[in-house]
Amino acid sequence: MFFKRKSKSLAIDFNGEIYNVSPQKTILESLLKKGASIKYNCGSGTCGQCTFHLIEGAINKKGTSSKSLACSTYPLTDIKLIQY
Amino acid sequence: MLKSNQVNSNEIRQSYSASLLPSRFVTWMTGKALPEQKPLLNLNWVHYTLAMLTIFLLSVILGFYNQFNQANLYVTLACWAGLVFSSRRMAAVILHQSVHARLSTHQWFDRLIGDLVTVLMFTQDFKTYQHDHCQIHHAPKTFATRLDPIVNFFTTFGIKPGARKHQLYWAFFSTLLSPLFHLTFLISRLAYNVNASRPLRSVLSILYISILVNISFQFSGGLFAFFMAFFLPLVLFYQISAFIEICSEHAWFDTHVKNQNELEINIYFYADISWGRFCGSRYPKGQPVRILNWYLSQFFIHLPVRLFILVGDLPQHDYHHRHPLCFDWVNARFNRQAATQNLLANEPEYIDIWGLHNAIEHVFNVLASKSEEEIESPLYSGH
Repeated sequence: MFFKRKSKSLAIDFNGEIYNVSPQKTILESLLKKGASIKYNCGSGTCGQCTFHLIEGAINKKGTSSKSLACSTYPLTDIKLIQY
Repeated sequence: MLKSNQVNSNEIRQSYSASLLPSRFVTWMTGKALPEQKPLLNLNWVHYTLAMLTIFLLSVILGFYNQFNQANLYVTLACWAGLVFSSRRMAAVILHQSVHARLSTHQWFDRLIGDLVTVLMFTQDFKTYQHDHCQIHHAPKTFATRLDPIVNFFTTFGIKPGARKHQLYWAFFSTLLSPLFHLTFLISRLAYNVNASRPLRSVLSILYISILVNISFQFSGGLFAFFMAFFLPLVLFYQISAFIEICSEHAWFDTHVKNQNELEINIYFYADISWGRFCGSRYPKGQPVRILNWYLSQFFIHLPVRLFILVGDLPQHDYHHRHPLCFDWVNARFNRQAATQNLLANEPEYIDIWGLHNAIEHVFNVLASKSEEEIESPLYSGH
């Protein structure tokens, strides 16, 4: 109990590439950190550039956008995404 | 040549080693770090935000105090400098990073800070700025088009595509001192701060300005102290600085991308219309007169530009467009330099322009080269 619990890592299948990421970070932050080539711009859930299509798995959306934005979405399970 | 590639630009930066200016100072002033140079201090957003708020508040308090006493000219000038220095950084760095949620890592706190600084400066509020900046300026189909709020702003004052270059320069210089420009800008600021749709913001803004006006009346019997200690630096000088800065920021209405569909898929759609704007010039060889001129230009042109116009990470604004999620924006000059040496796959080379005047010249060259038909195309009309 005195140690910070290590969060389990989840797998993101992004455009066919697999990345192991932390569920504490947004999908965008995680993918950028792993060097994935993801389209994005403002980073604050506004411009819509990091929109993705969820193929499998569950995500937790923050913010008011109806789109799935990588900059304001967190993975809840292993997920499969596509960005055109 | 206005635009430099990295080889030429690094040579210009390295030419400073022959001067008497310390390397760390040169890196800060020009905005261009030496290859492999690392930050001396481990600064972050807390240091930056606290420093700017402190300078701002001290400049306001000292400015009023000075007006109520001897109205010493040097103190007045120092307070103006402090206010323009801090307010431009509060707008172009603190507010800017907060709308990108890149200030503290907590969105709600970023919004709080963003709104606080805009109330203090009496400028555009967080929410509308976030919409204008993130949703329009950062979106490929509207960036640097007629729909971009920055373009809208300066075209009103004659900085228009298709105009001849001398007309653009005339519009530029006349706008800086135009009462119509300052009044229009001020009215837009007023509308963002006092607005029926934002009652809390309106109450805070009215209360804040009322307190300052009341203090001015209480201690000096009139509005002169308010005018000298607040209005002049935060309206006139602030607006001049903001206008000069946006005229050098991007090559508006210009992109290598051929059509709107390509805009959606090309992640570097902004790369050739954004650049590093560095405050300096190559150190001359030979004649003492040229060297003396060079020192004079550093201290009386490039240094004031860095202090009051190209503030914070604005010299590395192109790096921001390539890496909007960078939290370490305090060290943007070092990060950009490292990025120029480690381009990602398919990433275009960075473009550098030395001297604010050269950046403006380049923007005006582009605007003057455009025809009305070109601007009406979907690529530039933003539709």
